[in-house]
Amino acid sequence: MSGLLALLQQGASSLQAQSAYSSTVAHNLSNSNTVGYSRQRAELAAVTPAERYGSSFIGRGAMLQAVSQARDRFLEAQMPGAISREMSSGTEAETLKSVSAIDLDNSVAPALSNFYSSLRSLAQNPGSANYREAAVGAATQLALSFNRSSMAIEASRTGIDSKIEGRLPELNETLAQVARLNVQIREARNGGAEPNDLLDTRLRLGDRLAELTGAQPVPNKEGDLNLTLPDGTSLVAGERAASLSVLPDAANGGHFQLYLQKPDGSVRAPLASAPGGELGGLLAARDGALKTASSQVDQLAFDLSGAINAVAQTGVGLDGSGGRDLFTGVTTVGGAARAMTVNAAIVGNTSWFPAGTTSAPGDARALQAMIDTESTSLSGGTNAAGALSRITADFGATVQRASTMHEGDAAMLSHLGSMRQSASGVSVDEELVNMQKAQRAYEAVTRVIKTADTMLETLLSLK
Amino acid sequence: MRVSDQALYDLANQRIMRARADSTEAGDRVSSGKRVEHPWDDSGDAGMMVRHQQESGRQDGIFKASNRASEELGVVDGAMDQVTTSLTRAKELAVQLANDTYSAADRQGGALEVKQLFTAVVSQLNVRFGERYLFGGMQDGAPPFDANGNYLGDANIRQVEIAPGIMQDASARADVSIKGTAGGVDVMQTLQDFVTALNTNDATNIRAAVGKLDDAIGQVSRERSKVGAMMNVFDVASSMAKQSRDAASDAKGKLEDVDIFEASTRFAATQRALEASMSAAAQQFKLTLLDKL
Repeated sequence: MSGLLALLQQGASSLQAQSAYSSTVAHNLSNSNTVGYSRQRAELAAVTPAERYGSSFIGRGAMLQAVSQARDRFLEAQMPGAISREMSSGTEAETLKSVSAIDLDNSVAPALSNFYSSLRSLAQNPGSANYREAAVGAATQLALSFNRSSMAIEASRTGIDSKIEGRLPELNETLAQVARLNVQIREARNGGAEPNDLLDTRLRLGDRLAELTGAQPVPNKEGDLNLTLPDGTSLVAGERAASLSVLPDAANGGHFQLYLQKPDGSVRAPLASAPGGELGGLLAARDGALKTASSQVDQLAFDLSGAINAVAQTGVGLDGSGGRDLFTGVTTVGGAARAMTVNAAIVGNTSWFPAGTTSAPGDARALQAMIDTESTSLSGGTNAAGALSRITADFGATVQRASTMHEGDAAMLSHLGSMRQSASGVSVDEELVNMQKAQRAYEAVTRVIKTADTMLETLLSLK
Repeated sequence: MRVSDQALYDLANQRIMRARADSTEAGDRVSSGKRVEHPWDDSGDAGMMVRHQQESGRQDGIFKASNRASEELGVVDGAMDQVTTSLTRAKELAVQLANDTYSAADRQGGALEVKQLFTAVVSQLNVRFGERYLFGGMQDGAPPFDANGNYLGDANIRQVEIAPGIMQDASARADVSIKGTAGGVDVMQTLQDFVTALNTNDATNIRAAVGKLDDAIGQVSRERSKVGAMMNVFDVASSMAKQSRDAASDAKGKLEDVDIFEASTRFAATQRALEASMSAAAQQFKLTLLDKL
């Protein structure tokens, strides 16, 4: 009698185990599209200790031993770095590709060509008011072209500042969330169970932080997810999280500098080195190719206006007066392109354009010297066309490098992502098979219970 | 390799997106006809295109300037031809009226014609091209000769660029060729002296005018020769600048423009790849255990 009752109890516990197995399968199926979810496995085991029956042991059925996650630690260790690199190079490439100021049709090149053409036309007829107007107009167009290029590049850099600032609330909140999850996971583990879904959430947030900053995990024996920037600066330490903020940097044209308040609550200080991930890519674009292009355009504006003004100073207008600059506003290399403008006195009275070395209306000797500046070597060792060519080629090469890097980084991340999915992702087919398996076992256990019940009934009906 | 459903969909998504991006890019190239639109399409070629663009603009400027200079010199040549014709007529009159068979009245009648020739020469030398008086040197904003034949221009010669940094004289010197400042004959004074000799019936000076007018014609002819030589230089320069401009423009075009056959082939290939990736994804999505259980 007692054996049959034990059989019934065994059936009950086994049903619970198969039910848990089915629930785990259902949980997997429900989360087959959940980002960051790792499939879970219900690990069943025989109930121990077995019941002693004479000289033998009779098993006591099955029970749920644990629900574990399918994760490949080797792959997981590689993911943050791969995510960071892909985001960094991709962000840099895409950001730079959105800048059209250095495109062939939008750059200073057409205006420069037009300026020298107008000087040549004026040199043919230096006394002509119409040609003087045209030459002053072309000079104005050249100055505006420099202004526009400089402002477009600067607008891109300022836009990046806004993007960086816009990312910070999410970044700081995510850091705080990871710190809170560290606490919750510790508490859950103290209860003896593995909080799989919390672990998934924390890992997903870790991935997001890798995307944003290139944050790398640093394992500790408490099982916390501690995070650092690529240079080792701590972002999350146990239950404490750092926070990032920005302040204008006067040494970098007022563009934002990232500041960090460490998890230990120390005083906010500028980041020692650039982060990785999206922020790293944005900073690389802002302070790399765009800053270089901005400086190169400024240098060209400074050199070109200087070379032309040096000639203009020796020339005289039709009024017989000389010593006038053609371009004004340029005093230093920094900001030269933005400040460049045409001498307002000449714009207001084009007869003052210093075309000759005398006031004779047919004198184009100063103009001719201005035209010669087209061949003058500027500070970079080439003429203006060469300098423009270099600006275009340098910018293009940087974007090409970032794009090529991104292709490689994206391929690597895609490969690792596939491997991670292979290890941790949910296969609906597989889960359906597991569901069938659980259903069969459940039915079998039910049959056992029914059989035990019949046997008990038979026993009880004995008279 | 174990394949999860998310991996299956992600992979299909990635492949289709990549194939579509390739196809769109290839389509853009076919429709725009450009291989290099942005510096990053080919940084080296983009840099060279800027150089070619500037060179093309520069050579175009030289081409236009040379053409204009040649046209101006053509006008100068025409004016000097007319001056020569006038001087030749004056010389004919001098030869004719030097004969003692002509009376004082005949010679006064001749003086009237020579005076008209003088006025015609002044008018011819005050020729304009556009807004410029061509015989005034750099004082080209006003007529270089007044009604009395006084020269109001200067001794400067205009120069025009015929190649980067290389200049060529582009004007005739009326002070030398007409006024004879370099030891030559003052053409205007010669005509005026001839008129005076005719009016005063001065046979000696009428005969002397024949030789002076001959010298004047020779002097103007020599300047015309120089003008002709300058025109030749500008014609050659114009032709060379045009060639250089076209060569720079072609070079830019070769770097910038797409090979339409290659681009069309690639566009077709990328469309095939897109179709194939879509078909493969659709086939993979079809097979699931859900339909079998």
